[in-house]
Amino acid sequence: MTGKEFTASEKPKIARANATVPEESADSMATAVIKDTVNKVLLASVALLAFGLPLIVNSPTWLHIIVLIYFYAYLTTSWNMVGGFAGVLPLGHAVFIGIGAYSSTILSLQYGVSPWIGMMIGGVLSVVAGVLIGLPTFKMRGAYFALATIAFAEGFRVMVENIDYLGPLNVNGPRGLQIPPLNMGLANFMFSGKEPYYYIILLMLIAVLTLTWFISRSKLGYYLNAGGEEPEAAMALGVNVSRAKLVAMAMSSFLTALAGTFYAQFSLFIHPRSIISLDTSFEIAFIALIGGRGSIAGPVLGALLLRPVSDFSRIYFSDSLPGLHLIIYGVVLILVMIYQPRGLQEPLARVYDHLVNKLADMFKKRVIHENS
Amino acid sequence: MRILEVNDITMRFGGLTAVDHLNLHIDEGEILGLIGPNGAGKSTAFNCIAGVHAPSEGEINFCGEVINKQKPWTLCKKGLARTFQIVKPFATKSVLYNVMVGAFATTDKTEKAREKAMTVLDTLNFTDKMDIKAGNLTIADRKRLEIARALATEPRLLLLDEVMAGLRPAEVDEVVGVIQHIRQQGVTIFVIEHIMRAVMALSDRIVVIHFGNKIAEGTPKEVASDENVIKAYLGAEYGIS
Repeated sequence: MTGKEFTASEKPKIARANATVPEESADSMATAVIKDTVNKVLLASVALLAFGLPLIVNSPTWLHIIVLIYFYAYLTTSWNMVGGFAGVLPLGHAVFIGIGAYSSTILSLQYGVSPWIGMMIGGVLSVVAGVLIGLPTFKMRGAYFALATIAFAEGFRVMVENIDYLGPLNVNGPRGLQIPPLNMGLANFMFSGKEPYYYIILLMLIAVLTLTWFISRSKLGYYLNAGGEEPEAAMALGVNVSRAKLVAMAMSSFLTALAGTFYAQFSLFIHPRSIISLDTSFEIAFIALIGGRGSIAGPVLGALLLRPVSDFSRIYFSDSLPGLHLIIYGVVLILVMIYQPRGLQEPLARVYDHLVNKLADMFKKRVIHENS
Repeated sequence: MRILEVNDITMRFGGLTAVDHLNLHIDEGEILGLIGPNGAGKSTAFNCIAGVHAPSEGEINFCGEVINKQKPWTLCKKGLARTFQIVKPFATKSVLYNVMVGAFATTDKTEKAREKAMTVLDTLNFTDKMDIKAGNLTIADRKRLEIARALATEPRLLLLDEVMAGLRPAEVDEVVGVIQHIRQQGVTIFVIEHIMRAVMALSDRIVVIHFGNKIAEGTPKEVASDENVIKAYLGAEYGIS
């Protein structure tokens, strides 16, 4: 086993104590340590940059665009728990955004409940919806599952568009709901500047990424991956595939609903066509597929690459070519699926690995040079 | 003690009767071979025992408990593991990852599962390939991976469905050694196999089925000289030699 192969593996932590050649083992350990340090330094600087960004970027337009990038990275990471790990392709996650947005907005407009509490209530309602959608649809495979989820999402949108009053609750049908910007402040989840929203969505993104990291290394993560790839084999190995998928769906719908509330408070106006739109559902899947389904970095990478395309095409071509961004997404998706079917994170991770290995080699050579 | 008892099970798929009133039993610590021509119902019998199909009639008893309608994952946790004739590796994942999925059957902790998986890989001389993606393995290694995954669930009874098909003679010998080693660790083994040399060498007892019916049962020697078995499966030359 050479040092290079060892560091190329995903788990540098498991040092093989009984390696046959001790010298090589020590060498590979050194490489692993260097790589670990580089990773940590890089992660810390990215975090620092992310937290300091509003100090550099003053333009509200730019901040708005960046907030939406994080928002979509968050949504896609939440989606990834089902769409990535569990190996199915849900195309109706806008339902959960809608449930989150409408729950918190109706509660705060009619009953004065803080949107933070409404956010949690929306999350719980969304879990119920997610499980109800998941129970019948997880028995379907491939395109049938995707179509069924689209049907649920569109059905929900049509219902919301046609309901003015649901019992005592004023849904206001196709006209949507406006949140009057009266009581600014953290308790009301309402701010005049963009910066607070920026930090809230950044923290939400970090939280969901951390959660994903833990899940991918837990029993649930292994079970989801196994069940997604070879359900029969997974079942024979003790995996209750349907249950694992339902748990993933419940988490995913809860987290997606939180994003719905965030969006409602960010734009202060929701209506069925914008919040429960098929476009959003598709965009999430596009971002995941292009960035890399089932990986942790994939959704963030996809959002970083694709959201600017969407925003700039809206800014510059919305009069002449509305929907241009979806065409660009389509072309990019086709190219990625042909040349990098596992998403752009894979080649980038390879390049990154290569660079870090080179760096480690250089560093080791210098140490040896100094010692001799 | 009888670890598995199959009492008069019948499995019908529409008009086709794949397994017809089959009776067999396995004692703890034994290696039982199941042989028969293609389409005799061997894999269907396996699938009934492993919980993939619920038999149309009859009763399956595992460790004193009727398990007819139980799901594969429940059975696996009770100590009944199986491999697949057509291998089903988690192809995009490493060998270690594959085996860890099995190891999670008896633990919730990732580190514990990793340790257990490493032990299993070690027993099967598989450690050198643990970082290779399962999709890139040779057929012999894929079969070995099937065994490793099943073994990681810490079974009491291991069902092996043609784990030697498609292997070279030297590889067959190696797998025979591995299976004997597994038995020494106290695992009862039920094996479907077409390679007669291997199944004769391994089994304590052999059951022969044909068109879903049991046509013979006994020690390898008894079965090999049974007239029905020679006619249905082995061929005349085998009987003479």
